[in-house]
Amino acid sequence: MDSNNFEGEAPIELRSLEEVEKLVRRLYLPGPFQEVSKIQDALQKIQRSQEGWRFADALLQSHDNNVRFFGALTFLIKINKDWESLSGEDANLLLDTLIQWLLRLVDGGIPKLVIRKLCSALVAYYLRPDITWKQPIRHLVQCLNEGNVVPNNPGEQGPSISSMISQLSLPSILVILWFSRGLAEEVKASGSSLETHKYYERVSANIADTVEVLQLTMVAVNHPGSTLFEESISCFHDWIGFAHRAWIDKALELDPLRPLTPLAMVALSNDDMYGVTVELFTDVLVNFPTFLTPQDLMSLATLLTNSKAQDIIARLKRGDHDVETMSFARLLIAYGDAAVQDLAEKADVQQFNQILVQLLDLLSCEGYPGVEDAVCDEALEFWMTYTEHLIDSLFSAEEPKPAWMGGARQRVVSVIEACWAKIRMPSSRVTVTWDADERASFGNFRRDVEDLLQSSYTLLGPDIFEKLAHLALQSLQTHVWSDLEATLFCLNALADAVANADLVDQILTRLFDSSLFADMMNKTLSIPAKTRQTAVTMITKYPEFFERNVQHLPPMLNFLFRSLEAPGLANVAAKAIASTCLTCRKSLTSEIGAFLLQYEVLSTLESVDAYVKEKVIGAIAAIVQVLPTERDKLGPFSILVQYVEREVASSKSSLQASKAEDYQASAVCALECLASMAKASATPDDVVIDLDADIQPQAQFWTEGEGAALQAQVVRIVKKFYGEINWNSDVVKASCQVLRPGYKENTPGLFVFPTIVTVGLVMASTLQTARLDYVLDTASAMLNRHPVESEFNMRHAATSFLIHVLNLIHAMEVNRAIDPDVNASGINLAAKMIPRYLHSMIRVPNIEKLFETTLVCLEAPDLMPKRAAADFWAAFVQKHELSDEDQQIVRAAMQQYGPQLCVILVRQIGGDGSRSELDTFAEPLKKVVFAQPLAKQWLANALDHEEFPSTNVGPTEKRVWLQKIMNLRGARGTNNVIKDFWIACRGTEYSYAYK
Amino acid sequence: MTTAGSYYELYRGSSIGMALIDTLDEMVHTGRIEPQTAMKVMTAFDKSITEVLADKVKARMNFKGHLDTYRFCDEVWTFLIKDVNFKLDNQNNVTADKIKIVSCNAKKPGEQ
Repeated sequence: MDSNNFEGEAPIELRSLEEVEKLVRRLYLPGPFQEVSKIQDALQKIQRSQEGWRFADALLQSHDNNVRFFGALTFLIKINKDWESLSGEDANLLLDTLIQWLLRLVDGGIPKLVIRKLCSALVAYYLRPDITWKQPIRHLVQCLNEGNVVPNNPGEQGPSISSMISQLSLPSILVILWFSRGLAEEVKASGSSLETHKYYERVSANIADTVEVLQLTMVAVNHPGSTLFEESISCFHDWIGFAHRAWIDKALELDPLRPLTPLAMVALSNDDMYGVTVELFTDVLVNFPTFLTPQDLMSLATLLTNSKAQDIIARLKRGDHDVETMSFARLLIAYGDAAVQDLAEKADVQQFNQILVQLLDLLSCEGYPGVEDAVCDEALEFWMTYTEHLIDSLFSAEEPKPAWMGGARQRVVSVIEACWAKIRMPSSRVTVTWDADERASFGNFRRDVEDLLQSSYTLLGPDIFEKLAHLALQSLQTHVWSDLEATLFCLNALADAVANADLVDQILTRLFDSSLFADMMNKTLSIPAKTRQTAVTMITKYPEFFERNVQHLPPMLNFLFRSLEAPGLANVAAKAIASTCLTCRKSLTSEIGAFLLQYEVLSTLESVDAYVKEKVIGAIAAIVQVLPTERDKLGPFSILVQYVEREVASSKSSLQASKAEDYQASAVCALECLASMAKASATPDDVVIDLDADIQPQAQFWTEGEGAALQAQVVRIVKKFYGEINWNSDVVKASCQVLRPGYKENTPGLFVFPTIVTVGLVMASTLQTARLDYVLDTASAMLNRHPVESEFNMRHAATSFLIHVLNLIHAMEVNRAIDPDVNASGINLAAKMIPRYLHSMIRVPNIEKLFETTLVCLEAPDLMPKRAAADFWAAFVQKHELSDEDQQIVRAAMQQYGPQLCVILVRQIGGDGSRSELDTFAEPLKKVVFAQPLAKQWLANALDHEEFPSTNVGPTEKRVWLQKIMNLRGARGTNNVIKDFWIACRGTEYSYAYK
Repeated sequence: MTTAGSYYELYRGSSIGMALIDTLDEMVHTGRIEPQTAMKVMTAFDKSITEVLADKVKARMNFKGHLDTYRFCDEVWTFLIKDVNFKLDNQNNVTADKIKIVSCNAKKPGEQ
């Protein structure tokens, strides 16, 4: 071998030990990836060869630790992979060799890495099924004690482990601990549960020896430093992990390990051992609290409340968040979670009471949550758990309620008070120094407090709501705006929780009758923007209050319109106006004139952006919508459309001034305002539909009557911009959104357009049109529901759409620019036509192109067209109520495309498709089986087709699968049968994804 | 480090889980990884997705609807809710005719 030359394709050939050693050294040097990969391949080849055993032993003799490590690794790999090549005698010899190596290396200052790898090899050896090595820990201790390999006689009673351990050097004891840890870890690392179960018994047999070792090492004082203790704790930790799995799966008895817990607990008082011990107990409390006995928990409670603990709490409160204090806080919280029932129900126990006090203290540490204070969010999670426990107890307890409940409720009130102080917004001078993560963390804490408030309402009832309202009034009087903001935030959080309307009305009336709105509008007061924003948000949180108390609407709306002038408040105020007008529209009809005037003023303000205009114009349209007759609506709608025309005029000016961006912005604004009006003008979902009412008298009002001119004006605006700048996605989307709300209307209206408008918009689209998929989706939406239109018009529209789709598909093919989104939307549109317009569809010229495209899409890589094509075929292959003539056409189409469809579906299900797509392919297959008489024949032919992708299934499996599918007749179980077949076709190794 | 590594597999059916399975299938198919490795990746996924959803995801939403059916069987709550309106973080609303909520205990029965 020329080990200096790794270039070229030829693999490296190794012949001698020197070459192997050289190559191992090279492996640990920096080098290009290809070279490392090539070296690894060569070394792996050696490891797996029969010579591997010899090389492993020889490499351990090297003076290079990397080479030694590789030698130990080779032993491990050989044991795992080539065990079968050893006879019983060889296996015994191997054990002696491994132990000898341990004895030789253990006190030689060899790096831990090598020794631990040797321990791993011994663990792997021990877990082989047919070895005679029993009581490995005792045997290893004996060997280390004697300094040579002693015979492995399991039945023989030698000296006790404890007497031998005390004679061992620190490195020798560490070897025992590493081996023991390896045993416990191996179960966790084993892949399948079957494999794990196999290990349980063998590993469990070592618990007693491990405990005997740990009982000595965890109290050992004759070894300086904390290494031994840390390794002992880690070993204990690993064995708890093993015990957890074994306890769940095999009901392992935990008592043998439990005597170690008090020994570990002692270390919590020792500064050197503190870190590793805290980690152990936190983990056990979080994941396996059952391991700890009631006595352990009480001892922990005592430790958590001693003077040292109280010092740490005091440090935390001062904002000292170092490793020690934070790990203590996490231990305390983990204890709280594990012992929440005792903490709630036995708060009279001194330690429990003190722990609760400390957990409450964690909510009042210095600093802002998520910024300086890293502990309060975790503490809050405990208090959520505590509150939920109280709620569960409240519902499960019989009357009278338990005595402890009163005190526990009071504690939740204290928690809310502490949280209230924490969520107060700092001044903008502070917040500008925060980065995005800190802002998000602070916001997240506030949301967590929202959750707590919502949960606690069940427990605390109206009292908390009343208290907060009282606090808000106090803050209002004292002009402490950050307090007011925090209180309003809390009241907002309770909006969905409070169900008592009378109480809400009574309390909110006091608040809204106060100077709240007046103060918020008062520019002379330096109120933070956030406080004003939260006050505005409050309006949107309690819409029912304003519905019930319309006298509060004028001052509130006045406040909101005034807020539109403030840049920081405009958007939130606009949204509040929109939601209020939508909810209280019936009470506001008399104010339409005032609203129109407000909008007039508003639209002249430079600070007002398109979003605000869109929201407010929509809000006014919502009020107009409830006017009794169409004639009543005409006037206000005309004025609103005139406002939109101002944007149109503005766009013209921009165009003339060659300000392209302004032109587009005005166009988008105009269209979005119209879209907002259209949406708000739609009949509310909860309105009662009078099926007997005659809608005829007003039916023509907007199309041929007095309103026709206004509707034409709206259409003209849409057409103008759509025609001029349909490459702008916002324009296209907004144009479609003007049309869409009308599709679901049962009664005529300004925004309920004749089908011809949508047809015109769709037909005007080309491949260059932005969001062409959205345009086609709009056509689908129209076909889906347009109850006021005549059947003839709808059929005509459907036919036009389909012809257009076919033209687009053709154009994409010619230009070789297939857009998957357009393909998917086009096929979706065709699928939507099937239930109602199949008669028209099958008469469209060149319809075969649609069938062919959908079949191609079923096998194409793009997901959305594939799903759309599957939906299309699932709809098409079903039975339809058609005339004989139409039935004949559909049957002919199925005869032509049915076999091909089945070939594609079977090919995908037979292993060509991705696993995630199987449910998609299942739908058309189920429908074919259910509705097509020739399905069995088509599927049988598809299974025998030369393009069937798998050789893993033979004719019998195929026949069985087909029979299952046919028997299910399209039932839901088909999906599982398909999944099983896919795995069978791909190979059983693909069954890994689901156990 | 946790004491025992046993997590629900229910997130394997989520979009991200299915995408991962497809990717692993592809890697197994092309011989780039062994199925055993894929199995370990899925086990790691079960753990990570559970932890990340619990610890890192702060997005939230509220929803209202009509509770049609509910059951509690084998420590799993199932709710069928009709006419549901979701209020998302960004104040957008999403509606659905019906939804099914399957809710499992964060810790499996007997593991606590």
